[in-house]
Amino acid sequence: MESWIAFLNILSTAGFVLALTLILLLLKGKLGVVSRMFLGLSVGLYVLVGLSNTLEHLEISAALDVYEDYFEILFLPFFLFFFFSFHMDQQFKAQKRVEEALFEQKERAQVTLACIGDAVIATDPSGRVEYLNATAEALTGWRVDEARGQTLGNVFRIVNELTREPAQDPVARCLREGHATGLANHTVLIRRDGKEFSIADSAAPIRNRAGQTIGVVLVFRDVTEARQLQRQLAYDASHDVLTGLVNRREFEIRLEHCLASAKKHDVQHTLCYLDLDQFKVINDTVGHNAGDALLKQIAYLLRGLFRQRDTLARLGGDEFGLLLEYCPLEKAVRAVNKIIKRLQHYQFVWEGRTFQVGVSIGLVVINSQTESISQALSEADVACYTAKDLGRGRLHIYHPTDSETAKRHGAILQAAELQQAIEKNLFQLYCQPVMPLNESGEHQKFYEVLLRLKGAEGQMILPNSFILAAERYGLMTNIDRWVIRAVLSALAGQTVSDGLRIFINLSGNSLNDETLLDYVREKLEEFQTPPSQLCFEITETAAIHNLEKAQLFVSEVQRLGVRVALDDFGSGLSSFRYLKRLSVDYLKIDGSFVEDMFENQNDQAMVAAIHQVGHIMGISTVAEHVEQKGVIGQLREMGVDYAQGYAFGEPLPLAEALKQNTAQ
Amino acid sequence: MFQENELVNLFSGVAAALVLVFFARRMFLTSLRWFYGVFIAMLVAYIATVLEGFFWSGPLNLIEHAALAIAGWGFAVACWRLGHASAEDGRED
Repeated sequence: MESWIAFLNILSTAGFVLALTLILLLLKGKLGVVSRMFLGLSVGLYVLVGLSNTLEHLEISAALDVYEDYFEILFLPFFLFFFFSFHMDQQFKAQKRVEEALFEQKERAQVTLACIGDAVIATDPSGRVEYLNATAEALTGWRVDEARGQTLGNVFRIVNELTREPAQDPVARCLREGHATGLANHTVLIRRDGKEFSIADSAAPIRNRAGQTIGVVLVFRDVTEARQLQRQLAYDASHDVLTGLVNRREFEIRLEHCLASAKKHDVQHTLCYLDLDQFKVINDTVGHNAGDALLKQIAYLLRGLFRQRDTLARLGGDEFGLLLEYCPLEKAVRAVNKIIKRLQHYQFVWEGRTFQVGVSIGLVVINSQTESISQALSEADVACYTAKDLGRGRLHIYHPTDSETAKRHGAILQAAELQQAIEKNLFQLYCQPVMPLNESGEHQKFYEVLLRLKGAEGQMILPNSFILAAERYGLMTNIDRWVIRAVLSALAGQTVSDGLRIFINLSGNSLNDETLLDYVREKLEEFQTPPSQLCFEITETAAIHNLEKAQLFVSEVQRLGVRVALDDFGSGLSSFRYLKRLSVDYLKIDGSFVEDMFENQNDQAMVAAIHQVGHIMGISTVAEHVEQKGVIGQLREMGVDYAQGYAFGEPLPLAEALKQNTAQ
Repeated sequence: MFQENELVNLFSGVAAALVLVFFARRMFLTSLRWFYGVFIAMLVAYIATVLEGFFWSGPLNLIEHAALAIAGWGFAVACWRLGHASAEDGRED
């Protein structure tokens, strides 16, 4: 037993010695000085106890035995002190860590605030400034040390950019409402030096743990450029780029407002439709740059003639709209006459050439009876159209009972019907034979296609009843395309006799249509029709107006294998020079010479001259409007190649003509 | 019979145990578990010392010294662990 106790003594002493060694060597820096001291002392005391016991057991010395009781008694307080000091140590360390984390977070927040592009102002609950970041300093012109303690209104001066009235204080509003708020639109910040910035902002309350508002943070940013861009975009969307006038869209919006006010307050406004006379001539003769310059000058000239509240707009091309708000008819007429006079005295000069420009104006009253803006615009357009037809450079006031106006209005209504006719295939194709007058052409069967519109009651309407409307409302190209497609479709699958050729009239508008050639190519391919069976007729006037385009069209069409005829030759400028430039296959002598050539020698000479020149240039000639048998003989004597007209019979449906010419 | 110092030790040990139990929940326990163990071993040794004066003197003396040996090596282990614990280990559980 004694030996076991001795062994355990040695063992415990060794453990305490080892512990003391570790405390001295390993725990340096791991424990606080005080904790380490108390731990060392408590362990040290038991080292001494163990040592005393061991020495006593080994009967070496009993010197320490006297103190052994003290060592044992002192151990516990030291050990307890160690516990508490260690606890304090750890608490101190934890607090230090929390403080460091807080400091780190504060630093991070402050650096973030300083670096962000948005301006930030923090205020206390009374709205006094506590903090500004660098962007806020730049935008307000206040340094943070100057601004601290100032009321927000001093540092952050904001006004409405339109009214210049002070804008609502966002912080006060946020404090009042207790939630995040945004700033009204159009807010401008006035910097300390007076410079202004458009801004967008929001304010949010800062709350403590208890939910009490302890301040407000105001975040705003400079949106000057964005707002300028927005204004520019809005301006571009509502103004014509060339003239700077209001565009059609904006004009219609204002017209809508006028119409609403007319209905609501029973007031009267006036709408004018202005169409420049001679604009097309200038555009065609001296080019589009001149046309653009003219439009700009006209816009500039007209601008000064109206009140601030009136609207002058460019509606498209050479058409302008004028909206005279709260303006009775008499006053409007005076204003409009002023425009006409002003333009009568105006001369447009371009590259040394002078042009006289006029304006035709249609006027319509907007009052509570006006149904819609489209009706008002349509009536003004009709009145303008009437003014143009009645001699240009004048004013025409729309009145529904006016016969002139009613006639034009009818034409406009027809435009809508024409569009429907194209869509519903209400057109019918007739054809008139073009007869060869000499023996060499006997085997040829030529027909000119004539267009008819099937009326509501099944009657056939002649082209002169709808071509005017079709031209004015830009439907001619669609009609031409319809005719081409219909002719090719009729020819498709028919085994027609050799030498059959169909003459199709093309309008001047189609010559300007750059996609027509592709359309012809596409349709020829689709219907597998030999191109030689087609001949396009272009009028002399249309060709001269668009000479370059006409030349290009003729050459391209001939390259496809389609023939080209110059129609109504003699009705326009009749310059033979044009024949040199347009290498057409047929020259159709205008019917006005042919009709009376039997009685009128001048006409006879004219026909002979045109035919002679055509022949010399290798162009076959066709006489139109041959209505008397006697004329046929004369034409034959002259050597004219072909003739067409009622003298050879009434026009017949295309399908029937093709049937007659079907190869057996 | 027991000695006076042994009784003092036992009473102060029990008092210290009560104090530690009372504060234990507030203290940083993780790194001190081994020290608690040491303390319990010491307390066992004190109890055995006092009791050996009344009965089973031989075995209880052996228990006293065995408990002290455990406490000694327990201290060594506790110090070793504390020396190798990271700063995080010192935090409250």
